[in-house]
Amino acid sequence: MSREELLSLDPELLLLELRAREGRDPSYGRPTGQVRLRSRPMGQTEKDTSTLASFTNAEITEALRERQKVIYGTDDRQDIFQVGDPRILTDAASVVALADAGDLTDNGDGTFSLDGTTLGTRRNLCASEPFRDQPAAAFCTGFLVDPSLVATAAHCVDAGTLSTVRFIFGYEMTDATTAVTRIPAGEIYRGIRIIGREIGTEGTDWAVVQLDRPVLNHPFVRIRRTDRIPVGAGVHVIGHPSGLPKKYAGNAAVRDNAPARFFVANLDTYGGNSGSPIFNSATHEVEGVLVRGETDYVPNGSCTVSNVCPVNGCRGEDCTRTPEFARLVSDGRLDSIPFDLSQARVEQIGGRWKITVGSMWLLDFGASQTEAERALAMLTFYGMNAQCFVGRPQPSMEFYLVNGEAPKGPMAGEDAIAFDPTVLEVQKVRDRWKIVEGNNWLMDFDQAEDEARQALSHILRFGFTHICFVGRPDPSLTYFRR
Amino acid sequence: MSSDDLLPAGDASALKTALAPAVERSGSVEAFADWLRSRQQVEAVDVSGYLVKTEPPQREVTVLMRTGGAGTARWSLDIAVQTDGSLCLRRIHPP
Repeated sequence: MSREELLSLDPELLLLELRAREGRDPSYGRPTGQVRLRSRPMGQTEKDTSTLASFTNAEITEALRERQKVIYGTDDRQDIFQVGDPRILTDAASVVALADAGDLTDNGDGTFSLDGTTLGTRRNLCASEPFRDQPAAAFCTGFLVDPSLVATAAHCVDAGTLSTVRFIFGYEMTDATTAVTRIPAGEIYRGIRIIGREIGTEGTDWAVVQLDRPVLNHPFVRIRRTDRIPVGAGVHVIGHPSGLPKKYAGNAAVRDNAPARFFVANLDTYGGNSGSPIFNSATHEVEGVLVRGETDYVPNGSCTVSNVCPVNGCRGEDCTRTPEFARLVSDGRLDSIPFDLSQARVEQIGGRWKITVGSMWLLDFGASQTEAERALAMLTFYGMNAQCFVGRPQPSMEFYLVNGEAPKGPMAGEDAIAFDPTVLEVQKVRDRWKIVEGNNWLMDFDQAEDEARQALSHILRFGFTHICFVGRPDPSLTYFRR
Repeated sequence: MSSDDLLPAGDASALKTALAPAVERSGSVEAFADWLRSRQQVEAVDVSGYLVKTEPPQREVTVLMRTGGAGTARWSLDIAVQTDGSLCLRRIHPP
């Protein structure tokens, strides 16, 4: 066979021949020249490629690259500093690297150094490969779904290894040659609890981790909560391919939507992209979590190069659907009514004592004028100017904010109970959903799990550490403060 | 471990301990799968055609094996393929 004939062969055939030689294909162990072509679903076709036996790996790889360039079509990975679209930059700001705690060195000045050899050295990459001089330090990717919650792939974290994982924001290139590997301590988080995790069944693979403190300087994403993304819809991924500083890769689409719990897209992803958010490129809502896919690198003589696939070739990259874990994630909405504190009054209306603001009433204390006056004193003391709810019209939680932040106490004579927000959990106790602190429960939500998770999200987001009452044991007002 | 030794098929943690040395000794995931197939307890072994996309990436091997009684157990083994080509058994979980 001549080189011209080699160049005319089906690229997938060339790829599978390389894989068979590498020992990564199911046909491994067969003589060179007889590989299986795979297509989804798992139909298999024998193909005679005996004429390829006379070509070296390097020659076949070169032919493959000439035919198909790199990855799915062309390599769409970009560093974040190269991205101009502000919507994608917002998407990227929610993405976090997962690294081993042992790869961080305390510099003693409020920063940590993230250690990682260059990708080129680590993977013995050929000189033509992009990003080969960048460090490779992350082992997975995650993304904020709530100020205190990171979603990732289940195979990235489990209860046994969580304490060794660090969640690092800002690991990215600032220009073509500068990687941010000196990380401020404030951008490094620990996971304190896995609040949900599932792997295996019908290909699902996801985990939701609670961080040791809320992340207040990065946005959290919106996730699809029901239904499915359509086939052909454009998607993009942001993550840490091969452990590199954060990358964006677009120009991809959903190509198989049949599996119930995941979809398949032609995304340019590598090891280290596990746990990456898959954004809908039209809505910027997260549709999935990258979990598994095609071989990353193939040999090319004495070095390795990125795998090459036709746009619609290879097996595609599997992404767990976000509705799989949406019940664990608050929808992020803040149901808030601002009010003008300077107009707040205690008034008796229709025989009931109320706090009114202009022509509206804010709070109702029934027959208790004392409690109404105490509540107004509290609102005034803290300077509260927004009333917030979970679960209207019959709210399961009410709280108040001061210019969008938690009130800071204490107030003299206040009836307050302190709690540790880092140990709070949503649990079902005797068939009722509650927020619990160890063996004690703090709040009861009956059957409304979603309201319990939303309430906990607000507690963590605003950093509440005290629940306070007016009029116990049957309080007419409950509020939260730091 | 000789091919006659029983694997603790019903206990993921004990199975991981038992299989980890065999994984590390194997030159490839396929060679490890062949070793598994040689075990009398093992009824079926399937090696995934995909990579689990951690860094380093992992291959998944699913094994169906007889437990001590009449039952069987099916496990997925996540095997990391290190950058130097060596293997490490990371995790065993239900498929």
